[in-house]
Amino acid sequence: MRLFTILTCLTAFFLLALQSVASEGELDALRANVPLLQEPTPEPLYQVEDRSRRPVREYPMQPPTIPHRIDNYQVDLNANRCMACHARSRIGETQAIMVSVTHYMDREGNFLGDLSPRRYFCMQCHVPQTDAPSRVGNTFVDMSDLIRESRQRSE
Amino acid sequence: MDDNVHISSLVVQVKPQSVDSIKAQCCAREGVDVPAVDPVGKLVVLLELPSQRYIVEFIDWLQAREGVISVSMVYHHVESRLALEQEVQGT
Amino acid sequence: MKLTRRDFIKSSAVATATTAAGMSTAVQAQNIVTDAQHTQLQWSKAPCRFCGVGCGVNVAVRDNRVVATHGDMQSPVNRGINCIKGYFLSKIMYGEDRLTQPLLRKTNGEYDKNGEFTPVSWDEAFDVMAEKYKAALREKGPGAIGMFGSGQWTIWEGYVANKLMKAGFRSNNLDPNARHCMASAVFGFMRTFGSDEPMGCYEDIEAADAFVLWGANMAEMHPILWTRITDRRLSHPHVRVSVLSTFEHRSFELADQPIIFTPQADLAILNYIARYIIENDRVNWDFVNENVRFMEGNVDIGYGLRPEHRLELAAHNARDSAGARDIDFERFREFLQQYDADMVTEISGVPKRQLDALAELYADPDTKVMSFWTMGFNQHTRGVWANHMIYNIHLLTGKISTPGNSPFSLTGQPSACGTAREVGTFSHRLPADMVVTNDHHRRYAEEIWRVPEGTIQSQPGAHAVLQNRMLKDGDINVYWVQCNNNVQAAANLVEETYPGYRNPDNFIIVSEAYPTVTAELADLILPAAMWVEKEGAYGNAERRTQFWQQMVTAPGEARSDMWQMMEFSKRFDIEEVWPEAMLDANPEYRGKTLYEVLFRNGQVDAYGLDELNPDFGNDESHHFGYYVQKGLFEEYARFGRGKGKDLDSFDSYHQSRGKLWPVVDGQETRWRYNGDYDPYVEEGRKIHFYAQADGRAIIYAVPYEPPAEAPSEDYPLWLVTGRVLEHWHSGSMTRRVPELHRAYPQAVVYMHPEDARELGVRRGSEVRIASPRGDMHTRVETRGRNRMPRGVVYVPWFDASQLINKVTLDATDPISKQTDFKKCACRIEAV
Repeated sequence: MRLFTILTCLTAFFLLALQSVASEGELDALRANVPLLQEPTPEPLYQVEDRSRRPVREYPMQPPTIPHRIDNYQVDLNANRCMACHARSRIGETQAIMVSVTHYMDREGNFLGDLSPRRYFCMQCHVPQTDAPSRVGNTFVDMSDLIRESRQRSE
Repeated sequence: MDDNVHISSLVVQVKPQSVDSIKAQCCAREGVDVPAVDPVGKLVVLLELPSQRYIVEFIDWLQAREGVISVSMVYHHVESRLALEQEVQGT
Repeated sequence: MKLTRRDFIKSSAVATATTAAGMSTAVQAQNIVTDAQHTQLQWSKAPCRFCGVGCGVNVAVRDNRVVATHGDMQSPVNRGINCIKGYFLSKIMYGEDRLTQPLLRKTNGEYDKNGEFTPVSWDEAFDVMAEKYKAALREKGPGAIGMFGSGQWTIWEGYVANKLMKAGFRSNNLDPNARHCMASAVFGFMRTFGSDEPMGCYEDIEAADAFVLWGANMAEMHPILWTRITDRRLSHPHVRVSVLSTFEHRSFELADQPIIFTPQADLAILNYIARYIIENDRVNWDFVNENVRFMEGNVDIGYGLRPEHRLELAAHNARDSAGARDIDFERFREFLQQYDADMVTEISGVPKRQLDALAELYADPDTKVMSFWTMGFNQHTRGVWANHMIYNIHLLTGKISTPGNSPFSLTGQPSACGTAREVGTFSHRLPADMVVTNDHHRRYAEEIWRVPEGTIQSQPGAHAVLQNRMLKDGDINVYWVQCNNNVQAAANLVEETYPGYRNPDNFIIVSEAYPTVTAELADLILPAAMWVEKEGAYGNAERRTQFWQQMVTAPGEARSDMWQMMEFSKRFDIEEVWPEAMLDANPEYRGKTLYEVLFRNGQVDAYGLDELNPDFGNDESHHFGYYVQKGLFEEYARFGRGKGKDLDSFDSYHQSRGKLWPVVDGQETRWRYNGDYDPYVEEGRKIHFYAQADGRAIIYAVPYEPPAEAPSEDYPLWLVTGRVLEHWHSGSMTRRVPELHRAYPQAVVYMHPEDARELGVRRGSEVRIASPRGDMHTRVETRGRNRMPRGVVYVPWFDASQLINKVTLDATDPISKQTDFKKCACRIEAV
């Protein structure tokens, strides 16, 4: 139930804010609430978080974000810098996390001897995180929280 | 280095006449369970193994079984043994 | 019972596998899950909400919330993978500022254009809206009503809009945002082949020997197709990848032939290749003699600016931009003579060696070539010509409609094809490639819709860019925007978009899930349901129609766009919208509401609630009392059956991972116009372009012409705008996902380090980008994923706090009316 209480509070807060002032620029937080014809000072370029802790995944299939800088990593026809640490054959030396075994499967689900070429460009799914603050929150709820609530309701 | 558990699930296509035999062979191995069976020729195999190597070895072994047509990994999750034993229940 | 995290993960693993195997979880789960009722997730299929690739995803729901998504192993499009955006689909509906109530601008309890957004009931919202519609109809007629829709609408939403506007309100002022992204491709297809959309399919990728990217940055904009190309290239070393662009981007990482050209010079390069093929005697004469004829298009056709603009006044054929006449091969050959290496290198900056290597991929009869293009060609003041020119090359060599030989027009939106194009929500179109200007087509539509002859107007309505101009000029006064963010997306915001929305004569309604900049400029905001909050259908770039079920309910009072339009139509008596003369001739319509005429017509309401799948919700059907989506789809499908646009039955799409139309006797068609695959091809023919009356596709002689605007002394830089991998279009969904936001938090201007140095700025400096139309502040980026040539800068448009369309020019292709977002002149100054 707690989840729904929070949602209701957020909605109420939002509507209250609306009722007090809602002229142009007040609604869209992604525009930092600046009227359209004015130019806000752009935010600074944010730093990529480096050597940060391994992030939580909010569902098992979520691709992990990259917890380190990848400036000037070469990933092209000639080389794949990421796999220099994350390949199965390399992790003994580097102690990096091995890419998931799904990355050794082809389109039809057969296992290959090496990284599947369809997974070659790592940054299509895995991205570093900057220290930029969120402009809008997200109320996604982890399934384990829902399960906990469901158990509490039934007990 | 760390005490991780790798939980994976596979979809295995087998010849219909081999369903029971493959299931029995799988269940006989440690860390392997067959929670779902479709007699038409599909098995869901659940693995709880200590490393990737074990998974790859198991898949190699399974692919070599008589009657197995294809093995597809559908799900893979790694977490420390300690974290996995935590109760998912609030106070 | 104690439940550990291990139990839970195991149950997820099994649930995922049983779903992937198509086995029932309900029966099987009991065997393994310790406490199934607490851990079970309901998994269902849906297409991704973002781009036109149309990946399949599996969506997990628990307690009326989406809790996980992953790539659908069974989808032939993506086989289990998603891009970074697709993997985070589970969070797009949960931005904390979801709109949950209608909001009307009010002062002292009354509607006031300068008032503050105030929550109102749906009843009050529709009352105010209906009053505005009726006033506009009374005072000015149907031309004063306009609607701007979307390639993200579901198929039935687009269909309802088409019917409501063109038959109901009798206004053709309906256009989709797909005008900004696909219109040039549509005109290219229609003029060359007589039928819209690609002949090939994604399976071409696994058969091709060479890939040529014409301006497309697929690594970022079509990532899953890029994984298939990467797979093909790296697994088969003979395969070659050629990437052409005006700057170096991520797709160059895989390029065997990287080619940078001067903006607009693609036209010259394309004609060079055609000339190369002819002069080196590499024409496939068997193919050309049997399947092709030649035409020459009008030249000097203007730039789609306001008619009083000096460029339009100076353009000889501004009023007949689409005109063309028959020619023979010899004239085509003669026409191409000017495009020799000297001329093309001069215009494009590309050396002859590179031009020849590229041309040879097409010329070599043993190389199967797939060409890809999207906004680089389509957002181009000569976009239709660019489409013609690429078909010219594939037609001269016969490299078309066979596996691996495929000119492939990519799409940017999930249903640009399925909804905008196939349903025909453009201002000149009707479903199944029909047009309002054709008497037979109108009559055909009126018969299917069961409305009187003469209901549909015979003149095309206002297209996207013209709609903004007409709003500014006060010619359109009531305007409904659904499912897009056009204030952010349309070019020349300050001069041409903003004034129309804030024009005191106009009433603007915006249906949205989130408060966007477009919603901010509205007078009434209607909260919209999104994605799996409604039952839906999308059509992707390879003609694949895909369905999904409603999995969760929308928050608060948010309702689907379809519900909004249908419910709104109840507010009108037919006598209030159709002229007396029409009702005198057809008295049986009297006394009915618009809703009854359009939707209670014995077709849309033909299927009962008993046909709903009981495992899923369907808020609209329960509200209206019949299976709305099925009735709408089956009525709509009648347009295309027997005309090469056949769709399968409604129910079959809920079972399959989509099918490629035409679907005849349940069988999809992977290669159109090919006798081995397409049932419409005449018996005994290998290839047959049957949608043209004489069965022949058309090669067009069309030239290079300069762009509408080029760098000058005052504005010395080329400005290119576009997208980034992590955000989709205007970012209203992806920027509310924390991981995606933090991956790419704000727009920047990519520029060459030397250009920056000359301006006295460096990476991170604040700068002002200015054109005669407006300016924007941003920060300099000289590193990262794009490497700019001297004199060219790139700014992505996803960021609402950096509206680059204040700077862009609203020049369009005069034939397709699609804006050129890829080139205008700008100046950059340190701040």
